[in-house]
Amino acid sequence: MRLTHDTFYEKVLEKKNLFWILNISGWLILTLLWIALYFPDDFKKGEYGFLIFKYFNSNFIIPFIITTGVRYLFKRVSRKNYTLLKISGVIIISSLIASFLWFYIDILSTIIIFGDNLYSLFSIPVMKTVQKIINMSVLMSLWGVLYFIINIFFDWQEEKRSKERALLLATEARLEVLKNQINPHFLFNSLNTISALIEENQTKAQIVIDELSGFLRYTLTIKSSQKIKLRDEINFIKHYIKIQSVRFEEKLECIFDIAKDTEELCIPPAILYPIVENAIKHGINTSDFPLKLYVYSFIKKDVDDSFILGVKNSGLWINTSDTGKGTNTGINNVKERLFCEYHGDAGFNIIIKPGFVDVQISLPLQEKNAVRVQGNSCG
Amino acid sequence: MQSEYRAIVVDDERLARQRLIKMLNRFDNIKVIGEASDVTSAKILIEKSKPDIIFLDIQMPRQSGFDLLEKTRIDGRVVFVTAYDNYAIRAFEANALDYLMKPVCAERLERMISKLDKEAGDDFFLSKLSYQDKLFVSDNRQMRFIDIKDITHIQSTGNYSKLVLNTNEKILIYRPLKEWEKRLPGTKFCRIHRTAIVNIDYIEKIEKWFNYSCRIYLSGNSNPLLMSKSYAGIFRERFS
Repeated sequence: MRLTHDTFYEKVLEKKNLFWILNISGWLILTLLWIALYFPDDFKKGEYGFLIFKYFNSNFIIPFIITTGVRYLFKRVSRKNYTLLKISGVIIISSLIASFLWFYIDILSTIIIFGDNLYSLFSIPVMKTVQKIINMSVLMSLWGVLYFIINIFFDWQEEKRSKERALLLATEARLEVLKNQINPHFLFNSLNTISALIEENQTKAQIVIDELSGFLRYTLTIKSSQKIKLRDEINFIKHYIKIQSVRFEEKLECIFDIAKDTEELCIPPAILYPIVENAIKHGINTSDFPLKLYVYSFIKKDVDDSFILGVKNSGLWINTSDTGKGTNTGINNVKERLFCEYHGDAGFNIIIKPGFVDVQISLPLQEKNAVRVQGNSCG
Repeated sequence: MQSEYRAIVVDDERLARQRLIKMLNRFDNIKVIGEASDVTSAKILIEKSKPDIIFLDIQMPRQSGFDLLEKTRIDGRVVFVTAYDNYAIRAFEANALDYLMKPVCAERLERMISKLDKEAGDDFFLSKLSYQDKLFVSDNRQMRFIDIKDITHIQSTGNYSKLVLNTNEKILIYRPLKEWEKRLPGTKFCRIHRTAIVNIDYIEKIEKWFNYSCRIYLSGNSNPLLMSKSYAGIFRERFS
């Protein structure tokens, strides 16, 4: 299978492959470093090829095999509930054992392969042995520290990724639920209205059917992950308002005031709709008739440029969590989606004044650039 | 000869009222004598004209159909009308009440009207209630729904049973205690005496009493209830 550039890097960065790549290249670099440092001095003592092999044997092959073994040991140490003390203990003990092994295997292999005298094993002074083993164990400890740091980093990333994914799934699921929650009551009431209009006013019945079709088509096509243009959202809301106006007759009045330069801006789908729905639901209960709605948008030239979407209604604010009639699902969902989408860059404000309630969303303007780059779509 | 029923329609939407009235006018035994668009005017209309049937929309601005039931003395029969409300529908079904769903279909309306001569809620005591359900009660003053989980205990007094709620409110219903025992969820309600059923969620403590009987103290109620020896055995078996 041929690897493209991207998949090649992905393969390298996979945890399994990364260990071998780093372990081989690490020891290799160290060996070359040793050769560069000590070869000129050692060259006088012996044969060229013999020395190169010896260097590779004791600085590359042996430590590589030993650390591969140490990795198996480390893998058994659970990183789930590690403490710093536990890990340091494991690293110190294993690097001591590893450096003893490294030291004696190095000498033994030299004897076996190159036919040195057994005598040379004992000829090394004790101080030099201790010195060398300490140096080796420092190196091994460093290796262990690096091993754990890289692994903990991977664990942390994995955890982060799974958390993000979970949140995404939850958001998507909630939107799905919300979609189903919104519709039935409104849908059946609309059908009831159409049914009544068929005898009274057939033209009007036809209009309601058209509006309802537009409304349903939109709810079926939106996906929570894709942004849409404000104009589309407003059209969707207009379908909804027209149906509701027929139902509520003279009890509902709605004015749209959408600034021309905001129509092409991108927003998360169905982000304004729940606010309009909420305004009607609670406004009709608290406002004098007719309930007046004012749906607006404008660009706010400010320190950080943003644009404002808002719904003002002539009712009173009802905190549904206070009345015990369930939580304000629609509004909470809007807030949560804004946070997921823009983190700190989006705002949500409820302005409560005598005689009206104004709910505002402010979104960062840079979305407009994204539209220009991609042409028609909102990505 | 079939008796004639005088009906009113309560709905906030003119078109919805109009549609239902048109459908009702097709029935010979129904005479629509009035309509109301909100709870306040409906209350006046009901008190003035005393209708036999009230077609009552549930979701209305400001005050719901349930509010009307609590405020008004209704002698007639109530037919609930709703577009979509799972909880309400479950409540109507659990209490075998008449209800219609919007858009009202002609066939369903005809079936409902054909059984008007029967007592409403006749099959009431056949259905089992769950702990989350609402119970429809109508005493002499009013009709309303109460939450099953709000009932702390039920005591019998002759053929009547007295429902006591966690608000210390008492409701007298002409039904024997053994029917409640059948209907209420056995995981929460337990007979403790020939004359009493308790909701175990409200039991504060149980005290040993004479002759293997017990005294049960309910929260918010200082007078203990007596649990007889035979029911104490059943109680222990079920909840331990």
